[in-house]
Amino acid sequence: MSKKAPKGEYIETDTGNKVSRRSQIIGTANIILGGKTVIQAEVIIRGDLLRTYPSSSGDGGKGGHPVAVAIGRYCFFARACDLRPPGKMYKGTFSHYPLKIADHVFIGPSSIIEAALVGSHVNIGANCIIGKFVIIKDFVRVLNGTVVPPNMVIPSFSVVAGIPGRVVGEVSEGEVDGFDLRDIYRSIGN
Amino acid sequence: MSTFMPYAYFQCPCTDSFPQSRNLGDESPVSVSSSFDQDDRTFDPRAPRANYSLYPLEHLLYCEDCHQIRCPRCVLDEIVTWYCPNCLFEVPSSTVKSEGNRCTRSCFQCPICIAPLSVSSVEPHPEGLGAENLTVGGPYVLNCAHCYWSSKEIGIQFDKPNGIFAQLAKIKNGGEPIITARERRKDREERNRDTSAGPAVDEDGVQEERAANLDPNEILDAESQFSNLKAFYQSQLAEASPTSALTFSGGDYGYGSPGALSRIMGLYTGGSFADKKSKSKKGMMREAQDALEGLQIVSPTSEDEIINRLQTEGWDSTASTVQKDEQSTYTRFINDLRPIAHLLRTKRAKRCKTCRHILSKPEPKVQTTRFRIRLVALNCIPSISINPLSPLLPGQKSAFLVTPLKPTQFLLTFTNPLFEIVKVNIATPAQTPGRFANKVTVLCPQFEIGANTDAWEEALREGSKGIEREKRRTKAEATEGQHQAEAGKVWERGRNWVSVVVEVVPASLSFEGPDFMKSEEMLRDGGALREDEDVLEIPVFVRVDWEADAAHDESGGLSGGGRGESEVREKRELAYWCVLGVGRIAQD
Amino acid sequence: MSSSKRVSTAPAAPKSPTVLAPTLVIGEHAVLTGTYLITLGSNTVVHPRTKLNSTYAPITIGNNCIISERSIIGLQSPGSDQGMTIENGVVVEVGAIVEAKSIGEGSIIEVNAKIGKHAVLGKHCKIGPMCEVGEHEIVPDFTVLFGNGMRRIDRSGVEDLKLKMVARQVEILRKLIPNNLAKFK
Repeated sequence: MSKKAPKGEYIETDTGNKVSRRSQIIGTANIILGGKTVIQAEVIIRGDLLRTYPSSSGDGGKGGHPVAVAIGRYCFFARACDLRPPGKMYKGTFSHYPLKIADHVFIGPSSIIEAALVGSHVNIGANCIIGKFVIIKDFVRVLNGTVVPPNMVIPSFSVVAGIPGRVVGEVSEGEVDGFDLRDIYRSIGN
Repeated sequence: MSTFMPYAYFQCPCTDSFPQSRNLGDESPVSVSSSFDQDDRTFDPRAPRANYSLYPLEHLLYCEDCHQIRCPRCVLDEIVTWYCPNCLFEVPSSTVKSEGNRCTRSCFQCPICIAPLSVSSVEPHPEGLGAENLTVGGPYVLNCAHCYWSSKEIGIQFDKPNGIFAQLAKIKNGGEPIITARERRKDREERNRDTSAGPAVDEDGVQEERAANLDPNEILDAESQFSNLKAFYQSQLAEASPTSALTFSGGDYGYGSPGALSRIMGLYTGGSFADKKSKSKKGMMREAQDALEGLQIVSPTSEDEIINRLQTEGWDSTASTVQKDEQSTYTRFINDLRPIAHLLRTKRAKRCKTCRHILSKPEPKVQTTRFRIRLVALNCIPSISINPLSPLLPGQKSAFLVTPLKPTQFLLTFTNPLFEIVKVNIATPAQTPGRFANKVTVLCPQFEIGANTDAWEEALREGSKGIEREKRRTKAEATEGQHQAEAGKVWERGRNWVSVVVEVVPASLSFEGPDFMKSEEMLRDGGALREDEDVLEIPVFVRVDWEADAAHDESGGLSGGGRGESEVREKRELAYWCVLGVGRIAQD
Repeated sequence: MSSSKRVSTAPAAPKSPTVLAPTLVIGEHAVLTGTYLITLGSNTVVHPRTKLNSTYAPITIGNNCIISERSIIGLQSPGSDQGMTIENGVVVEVGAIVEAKSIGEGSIIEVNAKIGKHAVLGKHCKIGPMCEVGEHEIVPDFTVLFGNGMRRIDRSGVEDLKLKMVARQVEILRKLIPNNLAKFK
């Protein structure tokens, strides 16, 4: 990736997140980063779209802090992808709901994520659209240009493609190790 | 132009002409290489069948008992768990048998666009659509959030927000009730009970009795017709041979037993297949006689209505082929489409077809992603990665776009996952098969790769990425002119990896030029460039041998580190074809 | 590709003439450029990093609309300067490119959809993700584009409900998105 910015492309946080200076993160107070996550240039994260519907179990926020986007460790958000908490009507009121992303999640360039949950070891290609309230379980590969329709549940070890997306194959036993993103994280210099 | 990613595909030896017919007790299978030497055959990656035997290394398993690569075609799948991919609930196999391979809860796909459907109330609490308006009462519908289809369009509404499958099974498109298969069965059983209880054995008499609640000439949908027929023949069979009646309990045909099968065959072939017992007992079997028994008489005017509809509603009202394919019964019109219950998915264990040992076994629970056993080829045979040797020139779009007739060098990096030193021999044909013969030279066809060391977890994780980093260094050296690719010498080596140089002279893709420059095949059929013919693919025959302690292998573990002093060392050999896609040839 | 077109236009670029309703919400880093008039109705929400470009024609957006981030509204190249009208209750999702002449009430332009130059969209249409409406095309009311450009007419009759939903969503967004309206006046 381009490393032209004079100061260095990335700001490294205490927990090892590498956040591009050119990323467009909104509502930082409502975003949790687990650490060692890479956020590239022009990535939008909509931390401002908070849950407004009172939740019974608390917002899952630490110390009562409301959380709009929760991200695990070793995630990689490629250039110009967009993470957006999904919203819907519930009991007559509209509210956004938190977007949760687990560990080792790769999101390709220009993909737009409005899922409710993205499990661990998930690889989402370039130019994908993950619809509202989609649930993606662990070890899933979404091929480039897929449009995953709203509310879809993608079980583990699925390969998803198409418009609208459907399961087109299975992740084989040997591919499981390939989802690890530690090396990609290390390869991102400043 | 699309970007080209280099690839290495491995051929599973199971596709080698004959099915593997090795006996269980045999020594390791006949060396593949020897059979290849005999007929001196070069694997042609462009052969029509080649695609069926080539796999990325990640897709292959490895049988540690046969010491052989196993591909999806030479393993046996064994279902561990059935589950619904939408609600992720496990479905017991008994339910699968009785209810079929679809989710029987509320998981449906849109008949128009296959996106998932969600249940919502027609009259939502003050307003709103979406799955969560369930708390409100009122009739419910299935909604598609992708194409906005709603079950309202086919006149179907539900009283309850859950158990949609059961509710849907009782409603026809338009809202009329269906008599389900189960109800028919119950009805049928009741009638049977009457038959067996009543002294009247006269068949016709019985039939009149049972016409009480169901119209014998009703037009049935395919499903109920099938269930009617099924019930009818079951009862016929039961009457014909009372011994078999037991096996038909609970809706299971009992087709599994050879006896039952021969009886069924015997039904229609005058009993020649039937066993003597039933033959002696049965009288004549009769055929279904009315709708209750599954008989549908085709009326000559039945298609008039369809033609009418086609004429009035037109093309837009007809379902597409894709939409029809998803339906369980033949459907012509969009209004006749029904929501598609999600097909169940499985977790499967895999066994070696030859020795029946388990190669892969997932945890049975739906939500866990761990494996109990996972013998993947990735951990047993060297992986190959391809990189260009010379750095990218300015203006060059991709290092994998090669110029015709210009010698280009690529680095093949072999990484050894084993804990033993392996010797590798690689061979390529001098010219690639196909219409455009590329010249290929491996500068170092024979080399040794160091053993993978401890902390193999970590080493595995390092994967190809770690190597790439190291290799970049060598590239820098190359530009400084520190060393040139030299025949017979390894380019670069690391702890458990070795890079060798392969030189390719890509063929020209032009069809012009004198005939003597063309390959025979090209002379035979000239013509346009076929799909992907510009991809430069090199068949490579790889032979790997190493010494392993025999004991360690029997235990099946990979972690045995005892560098055998007293142990008996056993020579292992593995040979297979690979296809390396190194680049795309530029077209003039 | 939207990314290639995203020539960085700093918010400091020449402000376009605007008529902005007082109840309008415009997020930070939204960009209103061009020389023609941009009119935004009441209770409309413009998400951060939306681009409205009136270089080639005026833009009129009605009430209760939601224009999401990264969407591009307005002609991107010279054409008829008749202008663009987006009626009430229209939702433009992330990354959509709208160059239409008019968009009917309650329509939804989904993520990364494209409405070609001078197209006319009826009321309550839904243009699915990545779907495209061609230039000068006229799309009838209640049309749904989905999948790989498949079309159908939505007969579910819940359009009023959907309009109400959009209104509710606007209510919430007004609370969440810090208003930058003053900057654009």
